[in-house]
Amino acid sequence: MPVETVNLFLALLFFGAMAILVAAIVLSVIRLVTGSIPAPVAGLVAELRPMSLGFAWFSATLAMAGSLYYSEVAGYSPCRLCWIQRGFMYPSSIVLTLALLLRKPKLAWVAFALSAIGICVSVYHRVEEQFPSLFASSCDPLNPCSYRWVDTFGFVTIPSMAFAAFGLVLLFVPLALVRPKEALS
Amino acid sequence: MTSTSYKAEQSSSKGFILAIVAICLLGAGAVAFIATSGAGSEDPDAVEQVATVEVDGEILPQMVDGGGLTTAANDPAVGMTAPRLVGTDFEGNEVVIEADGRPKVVYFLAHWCPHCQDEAPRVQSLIDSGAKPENLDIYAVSTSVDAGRGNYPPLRWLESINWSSPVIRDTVDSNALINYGAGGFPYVVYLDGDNTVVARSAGELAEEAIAQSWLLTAAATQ
Repeated sequence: MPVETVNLFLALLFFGAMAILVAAIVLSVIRLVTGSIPAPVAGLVAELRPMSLGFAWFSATLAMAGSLYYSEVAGYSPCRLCWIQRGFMYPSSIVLTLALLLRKPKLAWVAFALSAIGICVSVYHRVEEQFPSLFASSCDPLNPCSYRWVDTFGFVTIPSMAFAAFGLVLLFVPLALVRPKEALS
Repeated sequence: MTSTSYKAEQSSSKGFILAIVAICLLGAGAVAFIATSGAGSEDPDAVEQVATVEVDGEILPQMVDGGGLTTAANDPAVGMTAPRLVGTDFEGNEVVIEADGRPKVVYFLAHWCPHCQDEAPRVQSLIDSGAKPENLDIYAVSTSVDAGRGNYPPLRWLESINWSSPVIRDTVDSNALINYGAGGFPYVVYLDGDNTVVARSAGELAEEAIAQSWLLTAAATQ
């Protein structure tokens, strides 16, 4: 499959992921301000809750598969910051797999912690891509982190996609594991 | 509601959500496939972006990145004679960098490097404004060429910024770059008329610093 097709496919998923993350943030703000969210949305969230660990697993695993595709099939060399993000994304996928297979959902908090650190690296990497002069004045002849191997629509780069995947893990794990106050009462 | 009917309803809504997710994934895949089905065709008239380069002389030590121009105090290459390079430009014309009595500044540029993409137009703008000393020659070596990376091909990029100085196409293995010490891009080697290294720099320089480096190089051969 051509790299362009994979780039566009992952970019479309990136938009979907960002839409979910933005919606989650907006709903959180609404809930914080008004104390509740509209009933239909609350119903949908309640329906999503039992599946959200699966969604977290899917996000991390797809990100891992995408990362392996880019390095092993497309031939893109991972830079130093890519390796660091891999170091947080791959274990997240494995831990979420174990959490699902062993039916030990609390294991997913490990993936949450890994993703919390990973997303910070993604932000740093994305800023370095956008403003290379802030971090260095030259490109490593072999593989600078400021170089964008993927740049769909001018801004969907590899760390952007990693950001979205880490963000979904950070959203779905608490959604699966934190019991809502209504349910506790 | 009985427990059985509740479970059935929960199962049907779960199936509905999973179906929506699957449709979104398939839709994204279909859109990506259709939108890129015509991509990837190569231009049959494309000019070869790499070529052979004859290198004659002792390899320069690898450049350690640092700020600004190096000096004899911090760079073992300063004072060494740089190898003679015989290569070709994008039209196949021979371009030679050798001890011809004229000082030279050799820019090693990688088409995909964002710092080179910033620096090269600055260099060209200074040349256009007449800041280049009369007795100084500017060269570029298009190196680390990779068709899989952005801003390819280098010929199109250099044409787009109206690069006017002679260009040598480096080999597929970047042989000229390696023999000249392979610093971070943009990597620049400043040579006097005997092809002796006056200084080197790795990384972007401000316009004033570029102009200053040219004056320094030109003054080294007088």
